[in-house]
Parts: sequence; structure tokens; C-alpha cells
Amino acid sequence: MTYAEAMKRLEEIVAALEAGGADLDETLKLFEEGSNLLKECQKELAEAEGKIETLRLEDVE
Amino acid sequence: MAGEPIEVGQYVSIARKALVNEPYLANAAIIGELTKLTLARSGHSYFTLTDSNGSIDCVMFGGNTSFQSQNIEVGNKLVALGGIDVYVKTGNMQFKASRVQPVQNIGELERIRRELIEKWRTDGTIERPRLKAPLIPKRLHIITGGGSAALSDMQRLIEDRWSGFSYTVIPVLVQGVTAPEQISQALAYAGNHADLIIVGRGGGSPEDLWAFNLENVCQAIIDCPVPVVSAVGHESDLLVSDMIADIRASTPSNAIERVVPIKDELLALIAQAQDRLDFAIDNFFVKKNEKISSMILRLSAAPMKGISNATLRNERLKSRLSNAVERQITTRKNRLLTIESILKSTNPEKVLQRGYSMALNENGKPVTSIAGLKQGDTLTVVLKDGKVQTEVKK
Repeated sequence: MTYAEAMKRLEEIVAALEAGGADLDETLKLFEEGSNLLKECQKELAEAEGKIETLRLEDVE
Repeated sequence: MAGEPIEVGQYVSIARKALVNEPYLANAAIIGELTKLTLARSGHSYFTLTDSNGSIDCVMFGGNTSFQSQNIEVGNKLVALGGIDVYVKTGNMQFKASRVQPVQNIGELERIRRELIEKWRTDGTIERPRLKAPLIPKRLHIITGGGSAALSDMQRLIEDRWSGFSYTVIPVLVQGVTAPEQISQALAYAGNHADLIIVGRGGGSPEDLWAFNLENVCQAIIDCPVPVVSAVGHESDLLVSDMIADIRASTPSNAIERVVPIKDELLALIAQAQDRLDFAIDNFFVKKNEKISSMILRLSAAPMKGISNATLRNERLKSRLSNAVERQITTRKNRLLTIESILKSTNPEKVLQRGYSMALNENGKPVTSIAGLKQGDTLTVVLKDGKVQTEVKK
């Protein structure tokens, strides 16, 4: 799942939870999924960080 | 002063060595008018490039197809890539070309550009579905002039938006005769390693930007399996690469603005999502608690209500029942009393009390008529104070 997809799904989950109406089981399931997505998103952010690399044209042949 | 004389061949060999080892001469692109061309049967091409100041003989081994496919004729302006060499046998200096390419004037270039656009419009390339940039590129590759102002602008902007963001730079020549090949080569490499590519350069004259109008560069962009951002020149420049890339950025800086997110904004969005999630779940349990509390309240109240209702109903029933019974009893009592008084008033003994007598037959039944009686029948006469036996005489 891409970051964009994760954020989209997260938005759906939050909206669903805010709307209410789901039973306890479903609510807990959504909450767990949302929490996992949040962790994924934070991980994605961390993965985008690192080093700046400059290649030489000879290396890319 | 010159030393001992050396042999010519040796001398030329030394000269050759000196020349071919000179990097600037060994790897060069030269431009001039094609003044002589021989396409030898062996497949090698022998030609001469000339301009107003000089001239050089050139050789391109197996170069005939290259000349023929590009329709190069004497009189054309030509760029030859290659290096210097000396033919020791004759002492002639020559340029060993690895590639030749005709140089068009801007009018000619423009015609080719239009034809290219027309071709890609017709075959649907320009309208083809585009790849989308990932929201967070993790392997961004930037292909642009090494040490260029455009590159340092982009790098500064990345640092502003997301300090520590990782990316790769592939420096290339962005103008000149080798630029198209370098750019294409870098694109082919990045296509296998990047998740997003920015290819471009800063502003310049139309000729400076022309590499981004060329078919091989644009084809490399089209063939790229990952999304490519074309970021060439200023906002007003529209290159063919802009038309066929997945994303068109107006400038190199604009490319960064479009594909590198601002980290703080992402963090804020994540934090917001986290807050909303937490709030929603808290709210869910608060509501559930309220519901449970109110249910407990209702539950605890319910039995008493039930009991009191039942009691009330029982009481009501009981009273209705007892009333009915009492009423019945009274009625019956009254009726009994009435019957009793009637009976009392009609009791024959009462009549006897008043001085009358009553005759009973042999069966003990009152005799109320003479019919059925005959002489000799025995009757019992009941009087107030006893009974006597009598006989019917007549």
C-alpha cells in the first residue's frame, strides 16, 4: 500500500468511526487498522530520509 | 638543441602517442562542414571537415550506414565525435570518429520538432495515460547539469521542505552534442533504480534547451517505467519533453515543489489523523458507557415497577372478586330469608295452630277432596297437638 493509499484508507476509517454506528467488534477492528496505518505512514516518512548521492555517468552505463 | 637523430617512424609514433593521450584531443566533438566524403567498399567512411579556420581528415570505421541513414551529404554541417589519431605510415593526422551527426539550423530543427509532435499526437503518445508520482518518493533521481544553478536551486529547496530527504543526482551535460545521449543514458539507468525522476535544466536559449526537443531524449522519457517530471527552462518554455513526460513542471524548482512534500505538513496530517482516531474511539466508549449506565438504571428500576404493577392488579382483582362474592352471598341470603318467610307463612302447621285440622291418607298425603275416598278408608287427622285415626263412615 502506498503512502497516499494508506492516508486515504485512514481518512475513511476516521470518518467511519466519527460517524459511529458500528458495533464494538467492528469499531475495535477499525481502530486497530487505523493505528496500524498510522504506524505505516510514520515508517514511510522515515524511509524517505537518508543520504544524498551523486552518481557519475560512468557508473550508470 | 636537438639530440641524436631518431627514425621517422619512431618519431611519428611518439607524436601519435602524445596526441592520443591528450584527453582533450582524445575525446572531443568537432563541428564543421563536410567538404569531402568517400564511402569505401569496406564500409569505412573517409571524409573531411572544414571551417573558415581549419580542416581535418576524418575516418569512421564502419561508418557508411551512419552517413546513409542520416542522409548526410557534402556541404552539410556536421558534428563528429571521436578523437585524434596519426596514421604512422604517412604521418597524416586524422580524426577517428565514433559518431557523426548533421547539425540543423534552428529552422530545420523546428521543422523536425513539429514533425515529432505531430507523430506523437497521431499515434496517441501525447494523450497516453500518465504515471502518477508517489506521494513520498523514496528513490528520487534528479538528472540535470552537474554543478548547475538549477541543481543547487533544487537541492536548497529540498532541504527547506524536508531536511534529510534522500535522493540521487545523476549529473549530465544538458546541452551540446553529447547531451542527448547522456540524458537518455541517465534516464535508462534511473528507470531501473528510481521511483521518480526529475529531468531538466535551467533557462537558456532555444538552442541550449534543444536536447529536450529531441526524439531520443523524449523516447527515453516515454519508455521510462517510473514517472518522469520534465523540468526545463523557464515557465514560458514548452519543450517536447514537457508534452510527453508524466508531469510537467514549469521550472526545476517547480518540480521540487510538486514532488517533494513538506515534511512538517505530513507530520501534521498524521498527528491530526491520530488525534481524530483517538477521539473517535474515546467517544465510542463514552457513548457505550452512557448507554450501559442508562440501561443499568432502567434495568434496576424495571423489576420494582413490575412488582408494583402486579400487586396493584392483584389488589384490584381481589377487591373486585370479593365484592362480587359478597354481593352474591348477600343476594342469596336475602333470597333465603324471603323463601323462609314465605315458607313460614304457608306452613300448614301454622294453619293448624290457628285451630284447623288436616287429613292425611294411608300414604301420608293430604286429602284435599272427597273424590277417591270410600267407606272404610282410614284417615289420619292431624290437629294442633297430635294425630288421631279415623274411619270414613259415609
